[in-house]
Amino acid sequence: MAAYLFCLTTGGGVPLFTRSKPDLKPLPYPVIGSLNGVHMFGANHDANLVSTTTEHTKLVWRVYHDSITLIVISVDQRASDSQLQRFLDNVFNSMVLLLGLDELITIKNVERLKRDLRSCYRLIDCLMESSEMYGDVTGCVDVIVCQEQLILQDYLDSFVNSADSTFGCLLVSGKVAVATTKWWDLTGQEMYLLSLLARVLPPGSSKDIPVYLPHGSPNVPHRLLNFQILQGVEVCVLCGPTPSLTEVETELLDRYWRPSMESLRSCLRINLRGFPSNITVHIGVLGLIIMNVDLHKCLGTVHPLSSEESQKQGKSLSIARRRDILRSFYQSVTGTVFPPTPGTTPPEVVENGHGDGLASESPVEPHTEFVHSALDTYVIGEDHKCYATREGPYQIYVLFSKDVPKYALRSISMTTLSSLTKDKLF
Amino acid sequence: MECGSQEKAHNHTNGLYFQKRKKSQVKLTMEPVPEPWEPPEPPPFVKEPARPSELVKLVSGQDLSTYHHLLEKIPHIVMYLTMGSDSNNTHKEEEILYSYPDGEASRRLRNIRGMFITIGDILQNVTGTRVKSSTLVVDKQHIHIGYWKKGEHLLVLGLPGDKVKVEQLNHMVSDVVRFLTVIYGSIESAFSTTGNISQLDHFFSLLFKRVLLGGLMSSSLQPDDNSSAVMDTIMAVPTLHIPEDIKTPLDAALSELEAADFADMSDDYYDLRRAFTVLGSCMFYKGLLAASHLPREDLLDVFLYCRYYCLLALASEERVGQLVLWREVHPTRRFDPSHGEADAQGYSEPEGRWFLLIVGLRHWLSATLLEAGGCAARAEGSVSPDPFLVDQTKAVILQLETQNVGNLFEDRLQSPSNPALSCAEWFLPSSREKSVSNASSTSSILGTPVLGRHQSSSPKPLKLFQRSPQSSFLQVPGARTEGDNISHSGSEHSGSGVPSMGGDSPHSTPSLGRRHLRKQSEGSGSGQSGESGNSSGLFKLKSKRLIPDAFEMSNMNRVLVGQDKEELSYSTKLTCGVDNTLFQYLAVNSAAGVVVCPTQQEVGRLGGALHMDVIRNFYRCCQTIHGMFENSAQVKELRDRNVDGPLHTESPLGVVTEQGVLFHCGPANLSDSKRGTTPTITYWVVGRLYMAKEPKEVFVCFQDGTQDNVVEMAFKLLFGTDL
Repeated sequence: MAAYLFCLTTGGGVPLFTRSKPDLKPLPYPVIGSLNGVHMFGANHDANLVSTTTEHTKLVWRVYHDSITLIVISVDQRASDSQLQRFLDNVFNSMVLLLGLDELITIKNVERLKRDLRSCYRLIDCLMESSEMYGDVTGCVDVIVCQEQLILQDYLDSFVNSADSTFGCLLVSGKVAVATTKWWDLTGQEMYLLSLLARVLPPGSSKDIPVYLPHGSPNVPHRLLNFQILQGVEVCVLCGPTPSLTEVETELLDRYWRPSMESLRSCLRINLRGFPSNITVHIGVLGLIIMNVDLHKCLGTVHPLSSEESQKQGKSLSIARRRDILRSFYQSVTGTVFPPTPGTTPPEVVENGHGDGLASESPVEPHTEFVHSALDTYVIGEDHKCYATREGPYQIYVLFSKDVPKYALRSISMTTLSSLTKDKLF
Repeated sequence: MECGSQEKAHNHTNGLYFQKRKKSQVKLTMEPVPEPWEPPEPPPFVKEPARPSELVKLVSGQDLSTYHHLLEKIPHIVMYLTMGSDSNNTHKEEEILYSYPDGEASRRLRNIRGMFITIGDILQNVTGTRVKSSTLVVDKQHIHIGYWKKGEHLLVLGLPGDKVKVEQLNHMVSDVVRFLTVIYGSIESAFSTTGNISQLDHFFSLLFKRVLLGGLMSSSLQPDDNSSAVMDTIMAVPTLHIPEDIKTPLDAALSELEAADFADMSDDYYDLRRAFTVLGSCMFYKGLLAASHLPREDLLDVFLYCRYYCLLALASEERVGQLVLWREVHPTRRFDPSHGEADAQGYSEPEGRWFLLIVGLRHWLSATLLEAGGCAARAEGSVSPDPFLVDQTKAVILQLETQNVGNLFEDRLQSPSNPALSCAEWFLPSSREKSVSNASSTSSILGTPVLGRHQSSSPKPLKLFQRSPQSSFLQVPGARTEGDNISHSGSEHSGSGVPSMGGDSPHSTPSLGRRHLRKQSEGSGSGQSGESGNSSGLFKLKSKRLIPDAFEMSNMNRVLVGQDKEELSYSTKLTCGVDNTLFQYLAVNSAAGVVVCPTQQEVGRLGGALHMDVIRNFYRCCQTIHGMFENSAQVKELRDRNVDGPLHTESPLGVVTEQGVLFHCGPANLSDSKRGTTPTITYWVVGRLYMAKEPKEVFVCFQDGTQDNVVEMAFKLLFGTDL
């Protein structure tokens, strides 16, 4: 989606970094300068330039705390302002996550900041690619649902407690399998960025990195301890100055997690699918995203069927295409037909004036106000069908093969939604 | 009409008739009282004769400053900028070639024109694609800016985000560009000629007032059902499914006009080459396209002209005394190669000049496209309209009136919509029981609430009877019409160069008269103008008996008086199942350039408050779905052209052919008084796209619950020849 990303200082217009898709040639500095200049010119005349659309591309400008300007060029001209603004928020908050807000607001040494910002590149590049995670578009954290949830929850709670913390989660392939209650109190964006960070960290069995929570504690760093238990299974703990990494690694890790190996292995087995094998879905379903808006979690998968079933299904859309369609469908529905996902930018952030603090500066464009509320929607394309429905805090977006008849879409989606949400697993 | 003497610097400024400043070329008069021979019913609105309505003032451009106080605070602007000027001299504003208006809020936008120039300049270089629009926030208010760039010049149109959506603005920009190109030949010549400025001011003031204050001035400029926003994004002319007995006389009348086969006006008679060839014409009644003999692109040119000058709204709201408009045009079909059809081998369109003649009378508006050059004489200099043609066009309208076509059309507008529509309120659980119990026993045979409701919602059998062809025939002897005609033309043309239409004029035998003679010679009766109505009435009577409606006695009664329009429409039900669950539809046929949807009156007749909400929601949703379809069309086009580049990726959804949204109206949406009964209603808004060279789109709104087959509904709407 995002093709170019520019980061400049708002005051001086000094470029801090540029990221672009690998196959694109970098833009010369004068062009970036004038893109920024246009925005500055408007700001000086009390006209805040939000976005510009050309035939195939879209640009969005955003200033954070009167200090950092981010500009994105997207190759999808249908992308809404709010989607790209969310992308820029994610980018800015990844910078906050690693450097802290103070460093970004009061820039003392531009050269040093430039150097420090290099640590964010991996995170930002990951945001620019469309991965198998959907948290960047949904504003929620990607999770998987496993049958061993209750057992693992006990293991995790006691492990986190013993490490003198209340914040901890267990990640399976970068997606949250279980997390402590406090962890769920973080914002969806924080949870998403933390799991993304765990994903992009260089391989190794244990890591200790200082992180600033963009909304919870943007100026005081915490330590993120990250341990690999199995290939693909990691546990994260957010803690204060103690205990030390080695302490936890040598004394606690083995003691608390060794008994759980069997459960973890079975968890790993479902990681592609994302939910247990006893929940079946219709054979025509090629992928789905299910969201719990209240708890800021989403589950996205493009392997909803067991392997025998998918063989039966025969040849259909490629995995990458399924992901693209699901993302695109989600984006075309949310904010236009469905109301924009609430809770993604927590209101307290706006009130406190920290966080992105943009609410007064550039109000989000009012979403298409329908007189009545939309419950369901579907789209029929050439090689696929999509259906979305919402019920209470849940929303589900299902991708179907084109052979599924239209009248079945709704009932299959409803059945899938109820089978995934029963027993409060999700 | 003395306009031949005027020499103009540019030969394309031949005179916008209602441009008041240009001599007394305009003759736009409102009829203070109904025509004496009209059916004796009071007009729905009794206006004071001395005061023309706001709409008339607006359209005639008498006073551009009306509503100034309201508009001043709303940021809106149009600017034509040049990028060529020296940027150091910005304070001298010399890069502004044109700008309107000059209010306080607009000046703020004008002051940041540098931003627009830069965006227009660099983004094209960076992305390699045309810049379309920007969004700004000024004073916490969203403002959308639309661009159109050619060479060194940039056209900028800015409107507040709470009035228009970006997509709508993009369409308006391309409409404005097309309009200006049709009128002035090119955008450059439109803005570079100082003589055009007052015309442009008028044009843009109409545009802004329509968009920003539309509902304030007239309900037909901007109905409160959100439909105007959708219509702005659809390049098609609103029309109706019109029954044959309206269509036939209309087409016949237009054909006759186009043939220009006037006995004593022939080329031989005067031994002169005729001045114009009629390329085609079209006719609007109350703002709806009644008949068109124009190619699509020409029709759209004409439509744009009428729409942006609010002529359609004018004709639908007011009884126009007389409106004559003469304008040199540059049809898109000829001047824009991308719209023109490929010339057949060995044939090329003749070089020449083209003129648009619009004549409005009462609720009728006729537009004729004329060609000078080709087989007609070559036109040079400033060309004045042929008074004879003006009279002929008027005669066509008068003839249609005497043939009762106007009344038939009115009946069509008053009759229940075809296909039949239901009102959302009928499906509320509480009112539903009532409706069933209220419905007559005959309608409960069919079990549809529609029948019951139609009975109660059309309590005017007497009025209908009065309007029947026979009655107007009896009241309107042909001679009277003729006399009326003469007196009218006499008074309306006084002081102008057009010879009066009276019988003493040597070269004006109106087609009306000729028609009568012919009819008489056919020997089908002694009546003159009313006679055709009579004969069609007889025919109807006959045909009606072939399709008797077994269910309703009242229909039988109407059959006997020749009123067969209404009950025929009962038979068309688009949805399946016992109840008619269709609330609204909209069918866009871009191949013909027309869009069909129920008229406001039809909706208003059904409507309760809830139904109006459903309709508003429907149109808003149509806007979203239509945006999706436009994207599909674009994807298709790019695929066909094999466009590929690093900065172009196809939307993963690809070509979307159908989208549906299910809406729920729960207790929260209703007022407190109704909340106790907790009525709920769920309904679908579904859009379907038929991909072809010229895509067709259908939008329907129906109640959820039945397994309705949208494909079938869409097929009936789009391809059903006679609903």
